[in-house]
This record gives sequence, C-alpha cells and structure tokens, in this order.
Amino acid sequence: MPVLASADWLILLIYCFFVLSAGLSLAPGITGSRHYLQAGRRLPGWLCGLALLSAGMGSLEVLGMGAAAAKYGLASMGLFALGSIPALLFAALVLVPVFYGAASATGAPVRSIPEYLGLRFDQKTRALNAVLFTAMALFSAGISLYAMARVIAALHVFDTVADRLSLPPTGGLLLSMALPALLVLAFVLLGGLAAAMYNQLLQFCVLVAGLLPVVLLGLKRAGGWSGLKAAAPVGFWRGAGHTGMHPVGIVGLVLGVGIVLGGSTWCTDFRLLQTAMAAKNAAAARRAPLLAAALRVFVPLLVILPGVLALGLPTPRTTIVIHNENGAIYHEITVVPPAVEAGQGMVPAKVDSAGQPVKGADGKPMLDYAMAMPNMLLQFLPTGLLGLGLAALLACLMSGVAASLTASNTVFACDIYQAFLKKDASDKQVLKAGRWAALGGMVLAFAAACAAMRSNDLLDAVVLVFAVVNAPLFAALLLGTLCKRATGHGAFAGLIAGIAAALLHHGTALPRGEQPGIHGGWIKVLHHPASDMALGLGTAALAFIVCLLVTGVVSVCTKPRDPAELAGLVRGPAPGIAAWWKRPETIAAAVILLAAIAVNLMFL
Amino acid sequence: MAKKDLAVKSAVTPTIHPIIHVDPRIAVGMFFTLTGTILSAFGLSTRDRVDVYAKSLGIDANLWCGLALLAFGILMLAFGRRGQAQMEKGHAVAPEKPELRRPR
Repeated sequence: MPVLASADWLILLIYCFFVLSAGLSLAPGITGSRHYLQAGRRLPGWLCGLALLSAGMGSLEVLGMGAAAAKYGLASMGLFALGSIPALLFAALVLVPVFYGAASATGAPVRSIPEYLGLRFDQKTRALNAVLFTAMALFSAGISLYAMARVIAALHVFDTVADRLSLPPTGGLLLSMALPALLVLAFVLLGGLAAAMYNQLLQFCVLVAGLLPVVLLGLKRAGGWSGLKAAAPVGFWRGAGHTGMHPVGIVGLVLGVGIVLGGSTWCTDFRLLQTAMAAKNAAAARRAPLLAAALRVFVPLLVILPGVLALGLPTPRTTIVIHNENGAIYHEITVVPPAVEAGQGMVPAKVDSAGQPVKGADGKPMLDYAMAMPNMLLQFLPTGLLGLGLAALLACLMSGVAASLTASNTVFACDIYQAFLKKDASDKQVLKAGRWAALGGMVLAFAAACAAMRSNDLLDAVVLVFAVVNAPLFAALLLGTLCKRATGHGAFAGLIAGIAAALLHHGTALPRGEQPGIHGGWIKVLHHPASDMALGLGTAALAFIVCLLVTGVVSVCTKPRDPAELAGLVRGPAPGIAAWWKRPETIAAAVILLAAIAVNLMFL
Repeated sequence: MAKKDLAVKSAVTPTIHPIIHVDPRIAVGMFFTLTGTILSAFGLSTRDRVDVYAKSLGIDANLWCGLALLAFGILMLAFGRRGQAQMEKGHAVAPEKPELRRPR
C-alpha cells in the first residue's frame, strides 16, 4: 500500500495552507452578522456559481457518482444530468430571484430559506423547517465526513502519523476525520460563508486538476473511447435502464429524479442556495445557477468516467507481471490482498472484520464501489501528482462539510436564536451566535461521523433524511413562490403530512435482499421496491406529492393573506422586461439544455 | 519560506471594504503557480525514473500537469490582479453600489 512521498505531502500541505489562509485573509472584514452569515452579499455571480457547483459536489456526491457509475454504468451520467440541470435552470429562472429579492417589512433582505418561509407563511412553518434543516445538515455533514475519511484511511494516508502518535488501530480513520474537520471549522469560524465560498472555488479547480489526469490516463490505458467500450463488461454499455435500475418506468424516472430529487436538491437545499443568496445583486444571483448548470454538463466526465474505467480495467492478481517499457523488460512481482483480487477491475470487494471478502446472496463477492475513484487515483497518478489527487478528495470532503456548517449556523443564528430564543439580539450577538453555532455544529457533526464509524448502516440513512426534509419542503416552496393562495396553515400541514408520508412509506417498503431497519420496512413490510435507489426515489416522490396536495387543500380551506403583504415574496408577472424569449437568461437556459441533451445523446 | 510571506501579506492587506477585499482568483492563481512550479520541477528531476512513471504509462505526468497548472495559475493571477485593481477603483468611487434591479 502506498506511502506518500515528501512531494505528495508538500502539495497536500500547501493546499491545506491555502484553505486556511482564505479564512485568515477574510477574518478582519467580518465585522457584522451579515458579513459572517452572507458574505456581506457582495460576491460576484461567477464566484457564486462555482461555489454552488462545488457545494453540490461534496464527498457523498462525488464518491456516490463514481460508485453509481461503476455499479450502473454510463446510464448514471444521464441520471445525474437529468437530476441537476433542469432543476438548476428552474432555480435560476424562477426561485432564486424570489429568494434573493424577498425582504422583511423593514427592508432587510432574507438570509435563509426558513426566514423566507417565516415571511411568506408563518413562524411555525419557519421553526419546523429551521429545526429539521439544522438536524439534516449536521447529520449529513457528519456522514460525508465519515464517508470520505473512510476512503482516505483505506489509502493509509495518515497511518504513519497515527503510528508515531501511538494511536489505536482506528487512529488512521480518526485522524482523517479530525484533521479535515478542524481545518473546516477553523476557516468557517474565521471567514464565515465568504471563506467557505472562496475555498469552494479553489476546491473546484483542485478537483479538475486532480481528476482530469486520471481520466486521460485511464482512457489511454483502456485504449481510448472504443477501447473502453470493448473492455467494459457485457451489457454494461446498455446501462441499467433496461434491467431494473429504474423499474418505476420512464415517467417515474422523470418525476422522481428530474423533479423531486433534482428540485429538492438544487431548488430547495439551503446548503446550495446560500451561495446564490450571497451574490452582490439579483442579476448575479440568477447567473450563479446558470453557470453551475453549464459546468455541470461536463462534471460527469470527471467524476463518472473514472468509475466506469475502474470496472473496465483488468483486476489485479498476485502474479509476476512482465512489461516492456522503452525497450527494457521489467519483471514485477505484485502481491494482491484477497479483497482486491475478489473484486472487479479496480473495484475491490467489501471486507469483513477478518479481512476476508464478503459474499452476497448470489455467492459473488460484494463490491465496495466507493473505492472505485480513489483506487483509480492510486493506479494512475505518480508520486507528486498523487498529492494533488488526494488534495482533490480532501477538497470534496471539506467543501461539502463547510457548506453544511455555514448553512446550519446561518439557520441557527437567524431562525432559532434571533427568531425564538432572543428576539432583541443585537447584530454582534447574532454574529457571536453564528460562530458558536458553527463550533457546536462541528461537534455534533463529528459525533454523527463517529456514530457512522460504529454502524455503517447510517450511510444509507442519508437518503431517508433527505427525502423526509427536502422533498416536502420543495413542494411547499414551489407553492409559496408561485401561488398567492397558499397559506401558512396549509404549508405547515403539508410539511407535516409530507414527512409522515415519507416515514410511512419507508417503514412499509423493503428492497429485495435487505434486512428490515435502516433500509426500510421497520413498521411492516408491505411491498418490495426493486432497489435502495427505487425506495429512496419513491419515498421522496410520495413526500413531495402528499405535501403538494395537503398544502393545496388546506390552503383553499383557510383564510388567504392580503395580497399587499405578499409583494416581493411571490413571483408575479414581470412588467417592463422584454418578452421572455428575448431575455438573456432564457437564451442561456436553452443553450445549456441543448448541451445537456447533446452530451447525453453521445453516451446513451 | 514563501508560505509564511503569503500569510503575512494576506493578513495585513489594508481593508478596502469589509469582506471582499481580496479577489479570490489571486489565491487560486498563487496556489496553482506554486503547485505547478513544484510539480514541473519534480517532474524534470525525475523524468528518467521509469519506476516513478510506470503508473502513468510511461508519461511524465508530473511535468506535463505541472506545466499546465503553472500556465493556469499565471492566467488566474493576471485576471485576479486586474479584478483586484478594478474592485479597489470601484470602491474608491462608489463604495455602496445600489442594487441594479429588484426582481419580482
């Protein structure tokens, strides 16, 4: 297993230094709560767009995409494009202008999604969402911390350090969780959202710089595009679209992935939207999702292709390899652990505590798809560049965790502390509350990461938590921004009903071959969805639809609000602006949509 | 060390306006110029080592990536400098830029 050379360490340390220096250089400018929580609403649109893209590429997403690619094939590329690009365009054209422009009665712009809910609906809706969101953000921050730390520990990056400190066997894992966590905490405490966004920009660049060489070398190794096709397993290229990956059918797929999953991520999740809401003006705020969508078209090439390549490469075996380089012949004896040998391509098998490969119900070894991407880094990057590749993994981890941390501290300071705990708090006190919330949030997230270390099942709970919190919220926000008739009681009832429906569905459905519990079926198993993915999609879609219906029905039965109060909080007709097809935003959107279709035609 | 200089420099930059007084592209440019230089130097010094580059199919990936990153870093630095100059000028003239257009 690799031990990092000093060149790798140097690059990693330089990266960490720059990450910290973003916090240090911004810290003197943080004089008020708005500077800390919203970066002073002064950031240019392109920075917001890149930060938005980057915040959506945390460790769970990047590892998950590589894993899904290895598991389901290139079809997952279409899935991710479908899941993000239409939603981003919808956010840019419809939702972000409303969120960005919404202001309280005193003219202070809205700072968070729960605050918007408070203005548009009522305080109880705000409180419900604030609490749920904070819990979700911190939980998933912890899980994504663990998910990437597990990978970094499997690469034995910090083992020598842990040995020197004479830590227990899990020391490598603990260090790979604690060190990035401390770094994130430091720059968030110093520079708030602005530091997080500066680092997300750097992260995006490092991710491209670290992964592009892997993709290029991997393609070359596989013999180019056609070589990859030839080497990939039979049936792999047809994608899982025909074989039960989305048995819900094409309508279900569009509804589930395109609208519900995409919408509840890119149009709803405050961890992502906070970047757009920190823009310097409304035009910049709208440009952010457009730019993110344009770049998102090409992201799969970076994160999905390594997963596909990983499976297509020959599986390492314990053999004597003879290869010929520049005319010289080399004999290379490689000893491969059983888990790697039982795997497929660069994807190792999962191992039990004794280090033996775990076999599935069908007798084949179960593959640990999350290791697909990291193993590709090890396989292709030489000493030196490997440091940059590891920096890219670390960057994913930090950007996702930082986004969760800044979002949850904003929501805590604005919507729990200032709204309910201390209503007459001064600006300085809100700033202080935000920083304490970041500290406390990191402690809680770390606790969640340690819990995940004990029980791996928690990794799968993220999908459930997401479906419970974000899917109904998307429905409520959709009605709130588009429809004046929606009322506070309606939204509150809708959210509660959506959450209940999601839990009920998850409790009564169990994917085939799983044990009741975190994978579903914890109330009573009534039906069997085809896979974990189908269960997650179904839960989210159900929560969305139930919330939409209940909010609608209850709103019609309750007293509507005075339309004058809703000015600026609901999207209305836009007078004085040229016809919709002449607007630059619409044109940009059309171009991006075409690009997305073109890329997908190439692959599917 | 060059690292230390950077920290001191960025920490004591006079505050033009709260929060955004450093164009983010400058930091990105610095990072990639530095990393690019290190990687290309490392690549140059190890370019005959077959064992190092067996992984990358015999290509001196460090050198080529290092050069690419160096070019990118210098480009970002140039853009960042320009952006920084414009920002400082803009703040000196009109520190509080009014919002251009309120969305509905």
